[in-house]
Amino acid sequence: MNTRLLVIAATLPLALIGCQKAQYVDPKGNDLIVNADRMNIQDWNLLADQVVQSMVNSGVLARLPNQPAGVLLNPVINTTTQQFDTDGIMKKIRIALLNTGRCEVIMTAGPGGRAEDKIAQDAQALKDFQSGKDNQVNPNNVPDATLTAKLIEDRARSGSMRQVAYVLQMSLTNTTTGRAVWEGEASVIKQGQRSSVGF
Amino acid sequence: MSTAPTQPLRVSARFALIGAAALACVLVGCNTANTTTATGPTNADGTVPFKQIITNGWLNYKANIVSVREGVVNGDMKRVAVDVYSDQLTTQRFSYRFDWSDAAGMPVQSATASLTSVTIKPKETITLTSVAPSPQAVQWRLTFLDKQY
Repeated sequence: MNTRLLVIAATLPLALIGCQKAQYVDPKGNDLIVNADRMNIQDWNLLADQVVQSMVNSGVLARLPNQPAGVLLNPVINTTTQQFDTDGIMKKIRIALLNTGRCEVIMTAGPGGRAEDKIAQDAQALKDFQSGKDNQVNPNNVPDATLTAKLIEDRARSGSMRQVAYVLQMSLTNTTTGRAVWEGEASVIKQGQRSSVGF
Repeated sequence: MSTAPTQPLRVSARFALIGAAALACVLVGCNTANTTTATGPTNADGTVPFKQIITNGWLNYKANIVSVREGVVNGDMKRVAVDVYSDQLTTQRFSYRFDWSDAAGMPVQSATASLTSVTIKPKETITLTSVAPSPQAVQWRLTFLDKQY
């Protein structure tokens, strides 16, 4: 009995710490790896959440023309030292905007005539042709508002401590007036030793 | 054949078991969450009654909710502001997350919801805010965690 208890006592910490090499973690939890010198997936969430909260809190979405307003998004200008797919951030913002019910993203038009969804663009053109409107600009493709975004980075160092800041700047423009009706900025700042990893 | 001193060994084994459990607790982190929800309709001044489930007393000392206000933005989207007070004499950090659900209590997923780490200075009151991810989201739950990233 006593021996059994001692064995349990000795093995319990090991069992709880776990000997496994890989595991699933909650993407919204606090067990994600944090790199002090690069952008992590939770940074995308934090940046997107800040700008969406700011945009929705401003009340500007309810004032956009033609509810739900058609929105076109410009490609993100990424001036950070990191190469990554900025859709990681922008898709979250698009989902959040669509969920508000105040906006819809235009998929059949884009900068330079390059639609995001080419199949939808062709289908729309066919429908316009069948209805005899192919010689007119489809008003559904004219955005009521556009979004621009820029991602910048700042690095600082003091001794062995390094700091990196990622800043996402966004503007929402009403295309009827041509004026920015909302601007927001979100930032994430991390400190740590070089290449240090935290949880 | 000698008889083993069973009683002392049993006691020491118990202590070892407790010690091991404590060690395991430290190693894996005894980071229980404190959660808060609204319990009634909004008052005339915008405040709402709320209920806190405290499972982590230490965390509650540095992130104690003193008031909750609710409002509406964009015509149909609920928003909430929570005032949090730290009773500590040193700067503290904690993490929080808002989770939203519809009138039936079903979770409404948010693409941007995440655990956010904040710093609170001694005896300071800060305000945490959140906007519902959609007009269907009318209930919220605020979770505090002591461990931050």
